[in-house]
Amino acid sequence: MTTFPDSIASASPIGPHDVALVDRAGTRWQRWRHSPNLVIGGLIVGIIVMVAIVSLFWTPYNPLAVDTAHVLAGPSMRHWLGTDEYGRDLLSRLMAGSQVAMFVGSLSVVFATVIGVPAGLLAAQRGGVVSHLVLRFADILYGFPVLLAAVVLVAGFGASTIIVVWAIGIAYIPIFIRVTRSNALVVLRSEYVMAARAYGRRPLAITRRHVVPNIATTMIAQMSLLFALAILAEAGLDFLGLGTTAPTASWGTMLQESQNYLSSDSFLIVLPSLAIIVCVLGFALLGDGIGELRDARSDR
Amino acid sequence: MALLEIRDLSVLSGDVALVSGVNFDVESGERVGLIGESGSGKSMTALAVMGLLSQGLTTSGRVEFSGEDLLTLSERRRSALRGDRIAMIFQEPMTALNPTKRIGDQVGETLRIHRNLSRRDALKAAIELLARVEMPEPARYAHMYPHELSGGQRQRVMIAIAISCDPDVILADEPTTALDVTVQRRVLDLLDRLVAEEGCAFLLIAHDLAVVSEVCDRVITMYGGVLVESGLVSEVIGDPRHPYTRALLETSRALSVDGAAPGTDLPSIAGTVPSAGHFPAGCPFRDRCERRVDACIAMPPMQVDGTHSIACWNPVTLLREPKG
Amino acid sequence: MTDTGPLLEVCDLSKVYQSHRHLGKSTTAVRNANLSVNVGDTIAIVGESGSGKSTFARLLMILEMPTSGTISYHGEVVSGLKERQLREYRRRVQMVFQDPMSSLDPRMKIHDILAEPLRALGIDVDEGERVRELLTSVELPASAANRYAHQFSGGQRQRIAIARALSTSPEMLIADEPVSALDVSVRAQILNLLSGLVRDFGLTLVFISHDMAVVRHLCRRVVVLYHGDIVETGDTEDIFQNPQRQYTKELVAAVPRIRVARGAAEGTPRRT
Repeated sequence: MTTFPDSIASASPIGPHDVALVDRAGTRWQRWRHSPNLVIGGLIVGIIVMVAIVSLFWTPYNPLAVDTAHVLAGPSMRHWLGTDEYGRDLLSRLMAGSQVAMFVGSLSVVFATVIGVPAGLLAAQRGGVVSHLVLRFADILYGFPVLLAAVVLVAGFGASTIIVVWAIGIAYIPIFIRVTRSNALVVLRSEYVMAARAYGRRPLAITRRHVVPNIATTMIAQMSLLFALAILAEAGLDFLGLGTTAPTASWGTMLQESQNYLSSDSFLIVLPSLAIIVCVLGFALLGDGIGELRDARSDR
Repeated sequence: MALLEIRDLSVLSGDVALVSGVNFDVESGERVGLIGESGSGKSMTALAVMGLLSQGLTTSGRVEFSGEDLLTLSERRRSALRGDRIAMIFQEPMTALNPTKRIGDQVGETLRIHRNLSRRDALKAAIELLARVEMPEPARYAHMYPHELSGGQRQRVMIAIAISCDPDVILADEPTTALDVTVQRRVLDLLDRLVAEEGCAFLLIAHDLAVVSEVCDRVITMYGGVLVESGLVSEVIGDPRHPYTRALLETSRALSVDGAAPGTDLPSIAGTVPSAGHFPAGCPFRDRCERRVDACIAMPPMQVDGTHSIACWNPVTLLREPKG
Repeated sequence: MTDTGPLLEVCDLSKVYQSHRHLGKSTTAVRNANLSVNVGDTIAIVGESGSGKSTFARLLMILEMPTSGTISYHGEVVSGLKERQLREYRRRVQMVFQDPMSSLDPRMKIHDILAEPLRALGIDVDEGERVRELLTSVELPASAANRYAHQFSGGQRQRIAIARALSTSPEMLIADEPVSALDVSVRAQILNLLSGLVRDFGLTLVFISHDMAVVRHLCRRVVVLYHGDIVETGDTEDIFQNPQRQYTKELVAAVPRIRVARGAAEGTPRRT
């Protein structure tokens, strides 16, 4: 067995080759300032998350509190955004709605991730029959878009917020499977993975040590984007009566209840719509921004 | 007046200079080689001449082509010149050719743009051009797609496109670097013959000294975005006076087939090429130079000795007496 | 494992790829290769694209299974072994890859990149100490250990790749075009480093390349591959001065020479 002779250790010059050891592009975290998507998206998401957390403990009024004396009031000092057809404070209802959005968004995405990502990794790592089976499983799930899945689940279990979580989650699993698998395959075909195999790393360890860290940023970006879509889907399902049921405040139910007031008191529709739009925009920008960060370490 | 006169050309990315103050001429029918390693700015220089730099870069200086300054021309006028009077051959033929168009159509495209040929006439001319670049069965290959051809064949197609309108000057950016050794030989010989036949000027950008010495009359070396030495091949390669060129030549010679015997250490240049923006002020080579003197903290002016120019405060002295 | 006889023995090695899309269509990347490598040899496998040299390198590293034939190391067959039986082989035979930009994991610190082979093969040694030794042997400062690959130049990354290959104290190095992607001046540095390490550690070197000049400087024996077949083998000087086969002659003649004027041969005779 060879050992490292002292002559090598002491004789080598350090100077000349040290010249280019300069931090080239700046660390990843220093670059976030240059990504408007990340900054704006992060800000919006941050605000919404804060609102959701705050609303767990406090809202200006009880979102369910009916006040027949102040029905359909416009914005005023008492009710900053006005009231709906039952006199309920709109600001409070919007805030409560953000809870539902965050709840459904995070749970459904986490559910889809927990099932879809390992399945995708498995397919990429094993290839062959295993990959084939996983992809066919994904194909079957593709046959259940959110709406269909929701209808089926509601038929079986009745409408509720949690139904929405399952429906969206199931619909998103195949997306995560495919995205994970294709990203993982790119890493598995890289030369540094071949090098790892050459020094004896087993497939599972390669997935854990090389694939996961190198797809992490892309996957987080993907999760953010799907979070945005989940919120949209949630609002849609609630609107159709397949999810959260009235009188619980969610942006979707607010839209559903205000259908009749489209021409007369349009702010009843505009406000929850704006909330949805801003929320979706925020998560989408954040996802794009994270995706842009991805390139830092693979930079030349 | 030379065909191509480049004066004080600089290319900046933000405030990082990728090319600084480059001056040289290319006469009609002359073959000039531009040598440098990565980070030397040689490719940027060629792209600047062609007006093909990407959006974020700023260019200054003058590139006079037959009296017109290419840098100030409208894009419309530049497009009229490109392919017609000035042609370029790129390094990676696979990415430079359109994968969805047939070879014949791509070769004929310049003729349709600049000579207004009909599709049929252009195809006929394309087949003749493919024959000139020694493609076997040109008519058959004209109907194929790039992915059906080998690397060497694709490069021949690029050459055919370049000569199609009888340009005044051809710029070739590392045309043989991506090719196998035996293929490179054939493509280089082809280029040599065609440039002689066409009588056009030729600017070859390469990192391989041997390639340039075989095909060019004059050589220019670049380092760190700066032109360091320029002259005839017999001068720059026969007796280089800039320390960088000299060191590069020694290493290249040792690494050539007729080079150093095994067992001896290869001559190399100490240190590494800094990344863009991290070159030292003054002469960019000074940190790695064995002939460094105090004056090197300022950029040396060009010392001109007939056809041989050197940008150095302390060049290697001539073996023979200097003229004048 | 015996100490006499060749270190590495390749017998009738072939690798045939079956096309998935066109049934019945197959490509032979390597055909009936025979090769004997002794301890301390420096041997070059030379070929152009499509010659099979990269496939050959992967077969030698047991990263792919041959279609037929065997590879033996220290007299024992290794080509058909399962991964867990290959630990010792992997420890003794290491590889340096071609592209310094992609052979190092961009998410790992250099310290981890260098320590990974030790961890993967269960070698019990002080990681910090070994990493420091490795960096020194490839002439990089100890501070490099805390950085990431993208903070280094191509030549420096290749030094790291070489250091990684040395981490398990191997007997044999397989280098797959390790300097092809580097500038000329850096190439010389890395080749000097490699030949120094080979000398100081008594390594056996299998050097895959398309560059005849590099081969001449570094290796004492040459094997020429053409479309999967070994067409010529011999001592380096014999191959260069007296190539027997047409392809070898073409290969040697095709390399551009440094000339002092267009068409003229170089003036100064080669000094030995």
